[in-house]
Amino acid sequence: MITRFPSSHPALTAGDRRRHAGWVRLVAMSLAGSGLLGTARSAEPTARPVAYERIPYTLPAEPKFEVSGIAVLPDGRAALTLRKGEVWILENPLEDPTKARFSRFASGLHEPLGLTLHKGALYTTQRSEVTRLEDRDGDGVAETYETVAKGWGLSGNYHEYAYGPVFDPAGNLWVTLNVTIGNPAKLSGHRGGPPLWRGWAMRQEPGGDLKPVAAGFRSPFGLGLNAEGDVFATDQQGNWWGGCPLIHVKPGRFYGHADSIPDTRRPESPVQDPGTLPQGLTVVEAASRVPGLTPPAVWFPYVKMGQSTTGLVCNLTGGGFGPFERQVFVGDFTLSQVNRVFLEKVDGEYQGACFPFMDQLQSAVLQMAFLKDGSMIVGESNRGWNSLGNRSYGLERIRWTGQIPFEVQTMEARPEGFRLTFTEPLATPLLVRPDQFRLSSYTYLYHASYGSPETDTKPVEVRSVKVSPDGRQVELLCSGLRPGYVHELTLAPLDSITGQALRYDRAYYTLNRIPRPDAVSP
Amino acid sequence: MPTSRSLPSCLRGLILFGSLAAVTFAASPMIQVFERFHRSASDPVVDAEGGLLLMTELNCMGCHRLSTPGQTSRALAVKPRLSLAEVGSRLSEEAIASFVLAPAEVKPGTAMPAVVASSREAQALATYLASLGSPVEAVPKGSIDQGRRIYHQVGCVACHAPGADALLPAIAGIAPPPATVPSVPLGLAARYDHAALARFLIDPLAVRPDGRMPSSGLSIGEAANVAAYLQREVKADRAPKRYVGQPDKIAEGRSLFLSLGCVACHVADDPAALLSHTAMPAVDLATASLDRGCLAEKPAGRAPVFSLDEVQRSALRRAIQQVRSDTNFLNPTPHREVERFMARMNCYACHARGGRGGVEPARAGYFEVTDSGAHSLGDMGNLPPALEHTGRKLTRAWWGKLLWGEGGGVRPYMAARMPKFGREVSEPVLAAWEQADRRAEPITIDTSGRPFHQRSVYGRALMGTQDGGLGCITCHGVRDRKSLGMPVIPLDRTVDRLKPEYFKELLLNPQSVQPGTLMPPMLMGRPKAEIEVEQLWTYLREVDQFMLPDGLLQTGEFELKPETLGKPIVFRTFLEGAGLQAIALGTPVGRHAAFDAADVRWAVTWRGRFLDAMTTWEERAATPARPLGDAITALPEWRTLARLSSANAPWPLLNAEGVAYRYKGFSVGSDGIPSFHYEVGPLRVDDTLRPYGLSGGYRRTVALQGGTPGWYFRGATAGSVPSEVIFNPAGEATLEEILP
Repeated sequence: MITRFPSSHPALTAGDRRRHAGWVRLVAMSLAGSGLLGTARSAEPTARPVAYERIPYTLPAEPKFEVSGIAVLPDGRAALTLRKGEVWILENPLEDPTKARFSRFASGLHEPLGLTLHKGALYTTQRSEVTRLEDRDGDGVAETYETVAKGWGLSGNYHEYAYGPVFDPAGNLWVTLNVTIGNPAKLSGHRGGPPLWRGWAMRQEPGGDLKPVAAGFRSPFGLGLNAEGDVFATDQQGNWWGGCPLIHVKPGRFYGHADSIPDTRRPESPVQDPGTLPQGLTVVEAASRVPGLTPPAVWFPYVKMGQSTTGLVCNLTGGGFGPFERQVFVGDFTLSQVNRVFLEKVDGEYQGACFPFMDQLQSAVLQMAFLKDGSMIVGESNRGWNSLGNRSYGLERIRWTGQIPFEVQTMEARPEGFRLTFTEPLATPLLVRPDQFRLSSYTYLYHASYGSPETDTKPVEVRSVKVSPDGRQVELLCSGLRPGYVHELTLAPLDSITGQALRYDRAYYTLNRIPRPDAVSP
Repeated sequence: MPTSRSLPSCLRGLILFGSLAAVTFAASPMIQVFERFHRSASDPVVDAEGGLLLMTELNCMGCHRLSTPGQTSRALAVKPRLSLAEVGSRLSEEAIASFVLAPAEVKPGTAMPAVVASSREAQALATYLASLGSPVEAVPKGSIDQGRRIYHQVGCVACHAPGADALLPAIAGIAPPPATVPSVPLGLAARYDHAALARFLIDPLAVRPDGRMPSSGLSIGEAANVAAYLQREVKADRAPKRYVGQPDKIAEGRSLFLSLGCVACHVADDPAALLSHTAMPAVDLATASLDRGCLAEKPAGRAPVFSLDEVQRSALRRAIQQVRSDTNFLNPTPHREVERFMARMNCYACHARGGRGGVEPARAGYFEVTDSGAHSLGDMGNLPPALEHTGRKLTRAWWGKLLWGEGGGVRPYMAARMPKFGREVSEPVLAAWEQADRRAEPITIDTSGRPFHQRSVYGRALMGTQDGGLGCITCHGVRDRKSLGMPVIPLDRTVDRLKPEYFKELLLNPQSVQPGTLMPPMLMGRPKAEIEVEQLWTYLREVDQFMLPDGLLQTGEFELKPETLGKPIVFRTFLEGAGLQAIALGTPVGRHAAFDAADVRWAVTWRGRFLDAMTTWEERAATPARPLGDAITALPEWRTLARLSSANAPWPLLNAEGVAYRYKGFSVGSDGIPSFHYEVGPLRVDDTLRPYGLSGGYRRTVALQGGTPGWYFRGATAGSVPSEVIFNPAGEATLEEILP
């Protein structure tokens, strides 16, 4: 079944790496209006130990394992929702992937797009409700399909996907809801009315009813918690979204997509009506003009960092997944990859940087979760849209081999620039020069049209660099930082003290706020 | 001063339509591209281009000549003449007379100048013209509503104003985009004979071969509907009446038609009469005064009155000066020649090129998709494409289909139609277009295929979704099959439509060739990409005779068959008869039902075949499923429990306020049959339907807990009447009914 990445040799080959580097480079060039087949220098090293390997599972011929939700059970098994409406258990996720065993736990669900374990039971979100699944007689198959939350509107339009749930540390249940795009279903027996709360995040307190919390989403597939237990969501580039965002979901906030605005006028709305939206401003200008509009914590620059963000998961494996503990990983549908996010709080609001992490996955990445051994399990399906990974669906593991990759581990905002922390000390810290760090900044247009080019791009001058005594940190002192803008960093080839070259030479920091000098540690 | 000259030249027309209502324009000629790109231009080059555009659109070369050496070019060609051969079938004598007398007043924005010196001359011309024409073949009366829909859907509103009765709904929270481009007035449509208008709409190029009003490919029915819509406010019966004037008046009018120079722009009863036009004195633009004649603020003598405003006069002067001083002005680069063509034909109303043009945002809301799956294509789904590399993209044959032939449109999901402009006006630009878009570094592709027939097999494999396939069919349909996902351009006509070099260029780097495309770079970086492009091309060339790629959907494969499975199937879907929260129950004995979790009631029963899950499982559009069997019975639209003051009290309607029904889910019994749980106020309900008896029917069991006196039960069969529920001391009761 698996022909492309045989499990006997699942690691990245040199050819894979070249291919990857080539195409990212080409896309970047094409955005700059360049030619067809460029020959820019690759940032890939000539040789390096493999830090992460991909291990695809061999799947049964039936059904289609279009994995849309993953919950790892206390005993280490992995429960999976399939888009066609079933829940399956992967019995032995850490064993030989060609001998993976699956059993069906539930069926007949309506396009579940998320799965969570909470208080010993599985919860999934169907098109119209959150359902708790329970196997009471212990035969391995659920009998109870208990509706635990519902109340959002449906028109029957295909785009009305519903995501989640997640439970926050207080036990509140959260779901996110797509906006309707297009016409309602033509259907007898259906009493319409504009569907409620589309484009909203919803929350239900224990014992309470589902209530609207935050508005302005478009297609918020990813829903999850960061290391602090705060709720984050991803969204998709499209109308009102110039790129894909990672959003800290806070009650009462409006994140930008217009379709949710009519419901802000309902008495139950905790979100202030943002009024008539301007068009054609930049995101940065709009954030200062539109009441309540909150910019995302992190932008994933379009094409450079994916084209449609999906699931998100925080690495709390206690070191089992390498040097990125407490960081958030975000999937991408179109480019079939997983990206990495570092978050920090500045003036009480999250912001941070995103980095490439793993590409060349088999199909469109939908959801990720961490298995018992700290490896990441990735569920995939590209039905409905196409993806660079050209299998229709898939399930695979990304395992840390124990090798420390040489990467920018964190990128923090500083009053005068950024502080980069590397996973390993630099080989020649005394020779680091400002011109090895190229920075530019840009934003996007805020408008009803689809997507946006990078807008108002300006170079950012790196005046000087300061390297920490241990050679692991480089502080960039910059001129021309612009709050609200994405700051794109490209690093020149750097080697680590162990002789590794940088695994990725790019990072993108969304500098919503520049820290005040008195608010940061030295 | 003659009557026609006394009209106030500052007369302003107002477009009274919708959000575009704020745009006003003078009674001066309204050339949309001039208004859009040139009126406010400060750049002298743009200004001269605007003047040149006016020169072609006002057809200056119909009367003038140009003796500057080396300056003869199609850039200043004479417009094909508008045919008046049937004008008497379209317009009455009175309508013609009033229009000829004061064109800019009757048809604000017209390019037709006033040429008559008196109402007597206008009357004579009208008498002559009204005598031209033959009976019009009848068309259906037409539906105003259908006409409204077609008018706003096929693309008319790219140039013309949307109707006040079809304003876009205000989208909450979004400031409407400002309307900045004035609309092309609908001219004399309201005064046309209905059938003649419909015939004109079917084939406008027959009357106006200049292509400025292109043909949208309307059928007779569609054209009759649009005509009915355009004439919706016309009360009078406008049955065509054949007009026969006095022969001597007709002769007088005909003589005027020749002597006034009408034949510069029009052809009437006798094409040979055009010859007499050459006898007219033609002023040479190489030496003509730039502030006399037509360009005078108040044209004197017999100069035609175009009602030009100062901006237009200034632009015309600048263009003429440019013609005189710049020998390259009329020998433009290929790129400029394409720009000028797009300006003349107003391609920019729909298409962008080089950062200019495209559907104005205020009009974009009228451009729709016909397939809801195309919504997620964004603007690429509903708006006509940009024309950036079109010269190296399309084959000559496909240009021909698009511009003057049939079947050129390849976007079945887009409501707007690509109109036809006519071969005479559009073919001359194609060579320049190809030149303008040529790549600096040529691309080579081997399309011979013949020695490599197996390439077709490989190409088919690349198209499919099986292992090793690129999954092209995820988005692209082939032949009669839709794609698995979003509906983008079907691939069957690819080799007829695209130049192979462009096909290769696109596949190797989609974002570079079509910025913003949703197509992933499937081939980028693959070691054998170049060969794979050729394999795909080879397959697409043979696709009509070859097998379809693996993975294209076939209905029938996803039918759910509880009788085969041997146990019940519970299946959630959008379902005809049970709504958007339907939970269908299929049983091996062929008796099926669906519970509506939104209304909290049994909604439908049926027998025989159960359901096809294809649209639920595989189709992105998620079309509702429908019961496949027979004896489909819609159950009565009431809920089953209510608290009543007496058995005779009215049963509450489905959506009545008051008692809250809360759906709580279901649990599956050991026999595979689900019991539905819900709460009605304090009552807790388990509601179960099972097949009953040998010949058909169902036994419904409704178990209640938490009951108190005053609750009534009404069964799910038509004619069922309320009966009071008797609870045991523990507040429990179990009710049963048999459904047929």
